[in-house]
Amino acid sequence: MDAHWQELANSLPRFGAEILLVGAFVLLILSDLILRRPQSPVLPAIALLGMLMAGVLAAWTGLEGDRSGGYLFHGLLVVDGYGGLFKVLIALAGALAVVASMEYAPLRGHRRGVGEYYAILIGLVFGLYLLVGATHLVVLYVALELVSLSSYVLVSYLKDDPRSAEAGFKYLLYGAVSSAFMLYGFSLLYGLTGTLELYALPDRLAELDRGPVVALAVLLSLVGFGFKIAAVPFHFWAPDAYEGAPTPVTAFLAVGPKAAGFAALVRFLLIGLGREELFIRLEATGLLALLAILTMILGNLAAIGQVNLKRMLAYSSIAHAGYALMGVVVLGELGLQALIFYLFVYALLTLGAFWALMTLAELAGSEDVRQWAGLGWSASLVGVAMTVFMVGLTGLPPTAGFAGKLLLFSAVWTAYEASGDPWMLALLLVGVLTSVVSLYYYLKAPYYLFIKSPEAPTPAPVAVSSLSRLALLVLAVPSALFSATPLFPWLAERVLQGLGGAAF
Amino acid sequence: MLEAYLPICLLLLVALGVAALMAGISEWIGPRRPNPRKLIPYESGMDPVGTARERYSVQFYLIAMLFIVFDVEVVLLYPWAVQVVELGWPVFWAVVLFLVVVMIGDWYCYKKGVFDWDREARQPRPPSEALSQEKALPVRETVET
Repeated sequence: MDAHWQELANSLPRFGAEILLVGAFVLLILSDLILRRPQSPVLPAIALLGMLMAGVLAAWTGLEGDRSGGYLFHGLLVVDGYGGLFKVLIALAGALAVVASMEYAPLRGHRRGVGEYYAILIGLVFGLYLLVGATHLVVLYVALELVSLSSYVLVSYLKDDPRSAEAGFKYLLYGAVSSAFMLYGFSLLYGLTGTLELYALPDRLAELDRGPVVALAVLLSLVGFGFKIAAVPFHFWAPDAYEGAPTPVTAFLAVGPKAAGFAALVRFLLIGLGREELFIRLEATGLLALLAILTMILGNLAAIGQVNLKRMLAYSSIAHAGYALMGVVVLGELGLQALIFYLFVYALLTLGAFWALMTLAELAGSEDVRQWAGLGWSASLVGVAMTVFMVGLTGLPPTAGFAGKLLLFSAVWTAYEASGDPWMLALLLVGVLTSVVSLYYYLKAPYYLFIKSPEAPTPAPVAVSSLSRLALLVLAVPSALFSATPLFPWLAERVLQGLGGAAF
Repeated sequence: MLEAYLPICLLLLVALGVAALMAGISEWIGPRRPNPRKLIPYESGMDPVGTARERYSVQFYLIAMLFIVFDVEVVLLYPWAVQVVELGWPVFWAVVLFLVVVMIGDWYCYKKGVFDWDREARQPRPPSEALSQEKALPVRETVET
């Protein structure tokens, strides 16, 4: 009993970020009831403060966990620097989503108000925090379900809009099926090993000589992660869900769950399978490389035909899941650093692109890029910012996207030189070639915004709210110039040395 | 080995006997004045015969979800209640905190009208929703007598 108390007393302070999020959730629904004003500005303020404070706390507890061993609650969760990085990324993306929601017209005029919306957004972030830290199969599953359920509600929040309702329904169906697959995989793992604790798995699995069953269990478990990061062939929900969801939700879904999905996937592979011998026996490298290649090819090719920019960005986020999967294939210190850095860059560019999309769609009254002809001249800041984000997502210098891709590709090249694995070479080739393909569809938006002349005479400059202009400026400047600044080589050489690999 | 199961067999027999006895007695001495409402399987529930593709009120799901919440709450409270003296005050306050959080949720549901089954009948809804409300069937009535 005393040991149990000791464990609880040790764990609770380092669980602070998550407790804070739960507190913010309760506070939000209470103030929604007490204020009786569905559009009260207090609601987003609580959500914003909650997210930011949770981010700061997560960074602090993460560093603390690295110093003094991070396992909480008898090994249900781990709090470490690696998880802290992801949690900071999620908190920043969440905070930006809250600010964007304040700007988004359909939410501002929502009949049922925004109290539930922000509360569920906080719930989603709480689920992501658990997912990042989970080292127990049941916690992993519950966290994934919490993330999924919150996402379904947020996607269909504009339920008077048939597209939003349809998106939520499709998302729910795919989510239910893939989580069932993952649960089956977990149950096989439990049946084979008799333990649900991730770090106990590799020893038990190594004792078994039933390769095919283990491979099946791991494969089924991967379905859940594949669904969260929207990797082919578990990506079908993404275009519809992204298109129908409120734009700030889409932006957050493209960043938060994806980052947390990668964090959990890496933990599952590294702790649960213990990389070395199991990896080779299960040929997991080849499997993951195949997934990455398929994801890059399909995501980029399917994006070519899209004219709805939200749908195009959905396929783009699928394609980027493929690029980031390269980091998972390489793993090790180098692969992880490249992966984390790439996710940060991707988050910056994607959040910016969705914000610009939100503003442009409101100005033009349509998400169809063909309706935007000449709009870049009348709303020049938004147009230029959009161009920056699109070029950045392609990965051209001197944008941040170039820095991310350069690190990732060089990680793959280093792994190829070290091991001579043909999968690495294939990854590299597909990665470079599909990046070239992506240039075509990413430049579609700048083309319509600036070069294509509108059918109607050029409209007068239109007003963009100062909050939008500030946000776009803050996002676009680092996006545009990151790899040209000395910050990039410094980051690449020094800071990343100490990050990422620390937990393992 | 098998003798250990004798009490269970006895219990089964007694249970069957009691059930048969009660059903038999009520069949034997009970008065019978049937009417159509009495003859349906669930007097205050839904008619089990007919199409299964019936639309019914979303309130059923809300109630079901709330039931799950309180169900889980009871499951968590039972082991605590058995050990309450040994566990002492710290656990008591932890349980109080847990109950307060659940009660806040409960209050939220109450304020949002989850338990209010005829709210929509009392309040006129905005015109944009009038159409969708007409399409949705009301809560199913019991069989006409």
